[in-house]
Amino acid sequence: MNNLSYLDNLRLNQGADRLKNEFADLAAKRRAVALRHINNDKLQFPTLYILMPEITAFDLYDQMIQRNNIAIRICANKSRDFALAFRLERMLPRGSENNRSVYKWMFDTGLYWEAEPGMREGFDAAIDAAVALLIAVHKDTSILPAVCDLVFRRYRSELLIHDLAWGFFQSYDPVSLLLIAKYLLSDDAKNIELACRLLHLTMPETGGSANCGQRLYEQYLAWFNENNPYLCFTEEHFQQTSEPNPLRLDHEAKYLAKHIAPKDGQPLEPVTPDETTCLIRFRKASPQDQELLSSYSAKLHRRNKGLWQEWIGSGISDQVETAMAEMQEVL
Amino acid sequence: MIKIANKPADIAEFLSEYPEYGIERVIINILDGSPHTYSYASKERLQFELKLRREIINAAEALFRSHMSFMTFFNSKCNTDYWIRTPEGGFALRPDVKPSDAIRDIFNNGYKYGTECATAMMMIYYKAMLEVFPEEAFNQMFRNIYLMNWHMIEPELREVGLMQGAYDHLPGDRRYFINPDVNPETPEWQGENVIDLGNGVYYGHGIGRYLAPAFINALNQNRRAGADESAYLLDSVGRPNFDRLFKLYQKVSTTAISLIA
Repeated sequence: MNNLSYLDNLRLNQGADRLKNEFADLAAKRRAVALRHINNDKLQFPTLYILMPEITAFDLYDQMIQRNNIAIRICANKSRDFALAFRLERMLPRGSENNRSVYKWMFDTGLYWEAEPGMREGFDAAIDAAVALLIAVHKDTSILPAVCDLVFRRYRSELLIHDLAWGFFQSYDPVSLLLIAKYLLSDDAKNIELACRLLHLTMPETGGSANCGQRLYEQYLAWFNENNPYLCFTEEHFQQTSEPNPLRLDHEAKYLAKHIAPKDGQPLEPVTPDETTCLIRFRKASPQDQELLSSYSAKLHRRNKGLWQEWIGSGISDQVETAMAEMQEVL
Repeated sequence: MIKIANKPADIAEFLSEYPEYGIERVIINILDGSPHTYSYASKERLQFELKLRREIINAAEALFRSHMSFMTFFNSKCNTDYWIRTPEGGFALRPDVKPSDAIRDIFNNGYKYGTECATAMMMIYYKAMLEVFPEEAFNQMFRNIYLMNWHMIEPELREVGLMQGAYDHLPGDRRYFINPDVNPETPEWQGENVIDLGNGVYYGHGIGRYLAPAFINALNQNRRAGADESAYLLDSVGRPNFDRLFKLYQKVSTTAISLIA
């Protein structure tokens, strides 16, 4: 005997049509039994989603558990059935603590279900909403690897990824980008193509051969490791621009070797008067010199903090001279 | 300040070529009053930009009146006589129809269409191009239109998908109201793409034709619980590459004249 609920067994073994017919029959003749099955704690979200028309037809909402009504409220909003969404919203307690577990249930049990065309869009929209709510509101980063895989899976199937990718980036965790970067190592050119789009990298002209991906991955990793404490999210997404760049490198923070918050770019510790003086000098340098100075500063800070203190206290032209000489040696 | 062929432009003469309350005069006055120097290779190049900006605004006004509904990509709809709705919710031009007919249909039968704000912007750009370029040239240039926000834009228009810094904001620019604290359940409210119609008025599909505060209010009403950051208008702009389009325009116009001759 498997661990599936009765209705999930029906769906998986006999298909959606049989499930719908049997459930409608039960709801008409043995309403309490139908309710017991739909409220089963092992029920999976895809089964609930398929049965939404029958649940509406037999108006089971008042006797359904909160989990089901919360999930259906999201689905109703996504399919623009605002009357149903409003009705369910009024039935649910405000700010219910159960919501997180419901979104997690929707995601965990719906992650691998591939609905048929016609049903797929509304279902995917509900999954995207659950993901965004989990990540943005409940700060659940444990789902990021699975969400990343889902983004790539959908892209390979030429399905919509924009809202899902947006939800993924709502974690404001730069490390999450390394999950995307791993797809640069894929044998599938479509994976490399999407990884490049999401990370704002130029797609290799060779169409993403294995070696190319490896090189890109190593370059990205090196860049990321050098700059991670100085990266912040830009809020750029596919709705706004054709080439969103998720991260911005803060050269001023890198120059001061001062870590910033990835969400808003604010320094994690207050800027001291001495640092403000350094920044005033730094801002007068040309953009090329600023890049050189910030890069050299971060390297020197990692290598020898005493030397770094001495260097950053010197005049800007001396700083540039030292940086140019030493960076050329490195090169 | 405006320079044409490296010489300061005769603004009074230039203004006199346009109607007293025309949007072209508004644009010329912004360019002329700017501390930045706007250099144009020729008078015709500037005239072309003014014409295209005017048509972008006209197309935005026409789309506003078209009764096209607001839909997310999951629910988008189109007239299947002209377009194929793809699984990701975009609209691909049918291979057996003329691009110009398909674009016109959006504006004539808007009620058959539903999409979100970025795709609406692309519809506006294509309509503006159709008004500026000869129809045959338009149909040659845009044989593979795919309407889906800033994804897969035809090369001639690719720059409209990018946002860049600008010295001045001009009527006909694309702008973006961003909503950083959007309710995650409704990411379609994460921002609103708009066309600057001039005189502080913007058009954004789904919200309408209003001054900036109306867009900010509409977005703010769709924020998450406990939100503390208001929506705001970004400084950056999206613009077509007017230089490249002008060269194309000169090329197709010359070809058309030689064909007539």
